[in-house]
Amino acid sequence: MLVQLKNVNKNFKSMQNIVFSLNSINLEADKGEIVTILGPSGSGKSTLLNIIGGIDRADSGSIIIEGVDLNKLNDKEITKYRRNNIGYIFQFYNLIPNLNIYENIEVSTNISENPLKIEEVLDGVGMLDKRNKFPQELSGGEQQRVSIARAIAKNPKILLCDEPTGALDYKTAKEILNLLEYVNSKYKTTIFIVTHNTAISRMSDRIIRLRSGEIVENIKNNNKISAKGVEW
Amino acid sequence: MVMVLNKKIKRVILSQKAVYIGSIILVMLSSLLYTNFNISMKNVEKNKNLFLKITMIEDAKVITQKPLENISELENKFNVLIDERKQLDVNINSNTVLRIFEKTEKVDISYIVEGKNIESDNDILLDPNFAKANNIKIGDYIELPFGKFIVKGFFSMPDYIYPLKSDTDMMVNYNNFGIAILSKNKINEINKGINYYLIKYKSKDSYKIKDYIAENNFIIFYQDIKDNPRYSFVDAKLMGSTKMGSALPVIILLLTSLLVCIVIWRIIKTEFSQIGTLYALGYTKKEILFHYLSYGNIIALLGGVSGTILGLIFVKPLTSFFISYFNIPLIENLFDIKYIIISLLIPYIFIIPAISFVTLKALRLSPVNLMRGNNEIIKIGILEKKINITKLKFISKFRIREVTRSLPRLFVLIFGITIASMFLLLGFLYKNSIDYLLNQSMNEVYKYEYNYVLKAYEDDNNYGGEEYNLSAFKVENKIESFAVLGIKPDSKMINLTDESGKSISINSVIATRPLSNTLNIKEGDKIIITNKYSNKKYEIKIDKIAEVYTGNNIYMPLSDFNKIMNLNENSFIGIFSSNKLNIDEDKILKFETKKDFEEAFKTILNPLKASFAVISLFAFVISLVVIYIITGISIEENKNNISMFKIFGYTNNEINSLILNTATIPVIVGFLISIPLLIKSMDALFRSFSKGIDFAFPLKLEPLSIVLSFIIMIGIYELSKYLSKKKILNISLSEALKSQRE
Ligand SMILES: Nc1ncnc2c1ncn2[C@@H]1O[C@H](COP(=O)(O)OP(=O)(O)OP(=O)(O)O)[C@@H](O)[C@H]1O
Ligand SMILES: [Mg+2]
Repeated sequence: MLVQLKNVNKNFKSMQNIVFSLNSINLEADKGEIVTILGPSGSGKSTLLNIIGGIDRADSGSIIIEGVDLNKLNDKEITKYRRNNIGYIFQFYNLIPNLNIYENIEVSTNISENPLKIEEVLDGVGMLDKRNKFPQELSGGEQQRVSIARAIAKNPKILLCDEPTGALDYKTAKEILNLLEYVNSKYKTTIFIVTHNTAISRMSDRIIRLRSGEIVENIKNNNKISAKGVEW
Repeated sequence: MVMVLNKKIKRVILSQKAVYIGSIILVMLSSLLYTNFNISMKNVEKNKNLFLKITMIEDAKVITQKPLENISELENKFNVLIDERKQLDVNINSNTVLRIFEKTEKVDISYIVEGKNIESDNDILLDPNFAKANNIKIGDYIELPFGKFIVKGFFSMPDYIYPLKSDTDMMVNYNNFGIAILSKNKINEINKGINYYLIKYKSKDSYKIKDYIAENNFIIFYQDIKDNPRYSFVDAKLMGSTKMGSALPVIILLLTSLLVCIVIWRIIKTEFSQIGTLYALGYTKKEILFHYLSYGNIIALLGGVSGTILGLIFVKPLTSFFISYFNIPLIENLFDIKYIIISLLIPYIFIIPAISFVTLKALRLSPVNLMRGNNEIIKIGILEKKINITKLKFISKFRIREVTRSLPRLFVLIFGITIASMFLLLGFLYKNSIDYLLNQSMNEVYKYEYNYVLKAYEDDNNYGGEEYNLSAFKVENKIESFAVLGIKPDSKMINLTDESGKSISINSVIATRPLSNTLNIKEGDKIIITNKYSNKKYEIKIDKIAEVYTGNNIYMPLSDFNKIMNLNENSFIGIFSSNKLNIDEDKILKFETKKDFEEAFKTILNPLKASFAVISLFAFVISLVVIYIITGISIEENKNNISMFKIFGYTNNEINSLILNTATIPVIVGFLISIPLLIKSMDALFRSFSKGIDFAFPLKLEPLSIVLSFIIMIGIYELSKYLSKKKILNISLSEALKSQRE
């Protein structure tokens, strides 16, 4: 088991009141799996993803990644965990505007112990010819491709995608899904995809549904289809 | 409507506290400098004028062959005041001369600075600087050849504001020369010294008295007050300081307004969509502009007011500081309201156009473009596209991108560091230059230890040492006089060198560097010089300029000098010697040791040290503020990126190194630029105001000083980096998660 969450709780408080909480979350994911996390807005999807990514801390419970409990790590160790294991794809790409495409990828290879070749990754996402362009010169879909390239270039074990297609049109969104599937099969990366879009779950191995901070559904998808077949 | 908008000003300012405080400090510094310098200078000037008025300064001094008769008749006829005054020099010890004047009632009245006026014939008044230098206090007794006197008070006298011993001297030396006043009775009783008349004009035609006296009596000596260096040097010396006092604040304000530009532009950029919305809602450009102007209002107001107040507080010490160079009393502190008003307005004059410029730049965009955010405006600069940095390491690439991202910011950073470094280097430049100058003069040029000037020309030197000849000259339209020395062509006592440091043999006419600055002459120029004693004119050609930094002198071979002056071939009046000579006291007019000269020089320069300490403090504040603000903006702008770096697993140290070290190269560049710039500007400054001072500034900056300044500058840089670290630490990881593209 690559990822294992046991009884994870997380509260957000304002003053004295708890405004939101993730309650006793249990889930597991194997190496190479694609996991989709579904749920309405405010149900805690991003919070859960961030806890897995070591970006946010749980209040209690254990988050065991390859046998190591994240909740027992100090800040330095958790930074190191993120550095070596996590790739992150944002809804709004978050490319650095004054770096060109190639340099944006270097942002992540720069701190990686065994990065992939940047040219190879760029080629994989179909952006090699745009390597000297700057983010503003690219369309949204192209920027997200670069963002994926950036995330996988450091060769992470886990790829976290928060609404990766949220800002994209249908056609571009599908290209991005294809790309994620390609990354998954080529590098055996475990991918967590947070989405509003239920259709996307059809390409995943495991579907988790959240409501008000609780897992209301956690199933293995036995009818997994390829990204090409996903329609909405 | 606008009121609603203005509510957010406070919030924005609080969120950018450091930036605001920094800008306010810079404005404060410049207002402080401006008010302080200008009001103090004005104060000095006004006090000087008041003093001259109270003390009835003479318009001319005249020595006649026969005493003037019917003084009151003359006074009426020419509408003048005439006072008779006796003066005599007394040797207090072998090296110190006290010049004693008779107390006058109508013209050149002595002004009591401290203590009381003369009441009895055994009372004496002293020059306060002389008293201080010789450790004499009010109530002390001093012994003179004709009696014992009690020091009743300290005084100033308008025709001796700058108490030079002789007209041809260039520097005062309070250790060796002072002035004093005795009662009329006492002076008449002593009945020695010279007697002359002080004339004060009361109408336009009063000057005609000169012709009248010349016809009816005989004029031995006549001097207009403006030809009296003891009076006219003051203006020349104050000029330079005034120039500095108005230039510095302007430079700092310029820097501040550039900085404010950048800060406001940054605020505006984050508020593009708001501006667009307001615009679309029907707010006018004017309303939006006024809103942003109020950001600057706070800086200009707080900075201007606090700076002006601080400036006023320091008026008194600075005035005293300047006045202490001269013998002018501080009669009252006169604050010129004009400068206070200007000082309060100046920050606005700089900041309002600056803010208007950036605001209007944003308002030129259409509301739609503004609302869409700023992506229209983040264009990739040609520079960014063009520079080829693919080969570099990522860290360097990132820093280069960061630095070149905003050229205005880069410019302000470099400009700020350049200014601050110049301030910082100034103190070192000063010290190195003085050290060099003293060392050169004392050890390399003037090889003698003792210098004797005799009362009369002699032909045979039986005293030993090396004889020379000397006379004082001036040129038309210049108040400064200078000495022409005839010295032995193979002189062992004076070693003049040229630019390359090679000795110049004395077989031609050589002027010193300070004299060439004063008279504005270069090698090959012909000048007409007038002898101060005989009034005869001579034309001489300057063959060479010697790189000697002290002394307003012209050197020529002794035999040439004597030929020109119509003296005997071997005539001399002075002797340089490396050991003490046995010369009859009565024959000596003046005797000085090299040590005296060195001491006098040092005392004159000492007070400047304090001002360099203050300037260094300015350097510190300016560079800290500039680096801190620029780094702060850089962090602010990179907030999202920093947060993302954190998510990616960059350690804090790595992020600090990426973001904070981007300024390293600009800081170094700014520092390097400052060195030639400082030397150039100081050269110009000294050229303009060292006229009349009998030393030139060699402007030396030792490598060690440069290294030290550099270390200090890097220290300040590290300090501001250290202060910024917390800001980076405080950026949360979620920043990148929630934010839209910026
Ligand atoms: N740092 C925080 N402090 C306080 N409350 C927070 C914080 N972060 C998230 N929350 C709250 O936790 C709840 C879950 O947020 P989360 O971002 O996980 O939802 P989500 O499922 O990702 O929603 P969306 O689909 O809109 O992105 C929300 O109600 C949110 O207001
Ligand atoms: Mg979310």
